[in-house]
Amino acid sequence: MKVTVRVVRLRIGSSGYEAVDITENVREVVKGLGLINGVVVTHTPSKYCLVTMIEYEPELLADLEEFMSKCGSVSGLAEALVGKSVVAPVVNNDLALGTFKRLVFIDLSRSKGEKEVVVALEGTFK
Amino acid sequence: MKVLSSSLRIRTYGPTVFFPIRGLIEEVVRESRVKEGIAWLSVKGATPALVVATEEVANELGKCLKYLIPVSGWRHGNAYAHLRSTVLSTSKVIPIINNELAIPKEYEIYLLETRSVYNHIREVVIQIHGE
Repeated sequence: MKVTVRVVRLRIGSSGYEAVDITENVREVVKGLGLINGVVVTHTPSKYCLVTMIEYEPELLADLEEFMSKCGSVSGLAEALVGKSVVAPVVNNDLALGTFKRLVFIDLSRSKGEKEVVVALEGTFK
Repeated sequence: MKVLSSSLRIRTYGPTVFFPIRGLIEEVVRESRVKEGIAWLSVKGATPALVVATEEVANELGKCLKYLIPVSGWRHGNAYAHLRSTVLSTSKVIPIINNELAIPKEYEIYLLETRSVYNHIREVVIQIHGE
């Protein structure tokens, strides 16, 4: 089976300071393009935005915000600390994350508008 | 080029115990017969982490985590475990050269059990891409 790479850009509407659960957006790309086995890299090129993996639960996200702020980093430093990309495995045409782990886009830019997420898939496709 | 998916089930206990899994992953790499490629490692779940470090550094990291992300003082019940997992990451990417992981011999790959559990099963997904 041939291994290929596909890249898709997603637009995320954001208030400028929020966390968005993008797991289903990424899962839709995986299903839609028919990636059977491989990996999916989710990255945001947008400034002062992050992509991470965490349970999407308000109190936990508030804890993450507090942790970032304690590190003096609710802005650019958070990009280095939490990161702008994550890798998730795809097995049998679905994300293999476990029960609670979600792909979460975090916007710290304080600038309202559309932000960008790039999803790169590598593996065997249908 | 080929893609091989496999997984390991590791029985853990915790909190803050590092389980060495490099040997198990190397076995999967050897069996794949991939000479040049990439090993994408990922542990399922929202609280464990994967760490590539020497034993000495892993011991230091265990101590340092208590100060960096303390167990108490958060809103969410087991936030410390989630935050440690998020900050350290549940995935690692390691190149394969000559059918071997391209990390120094003295480095171990650890599955970190952050939670206070016993006999817990963690699943590590291994994707090997290459030829």
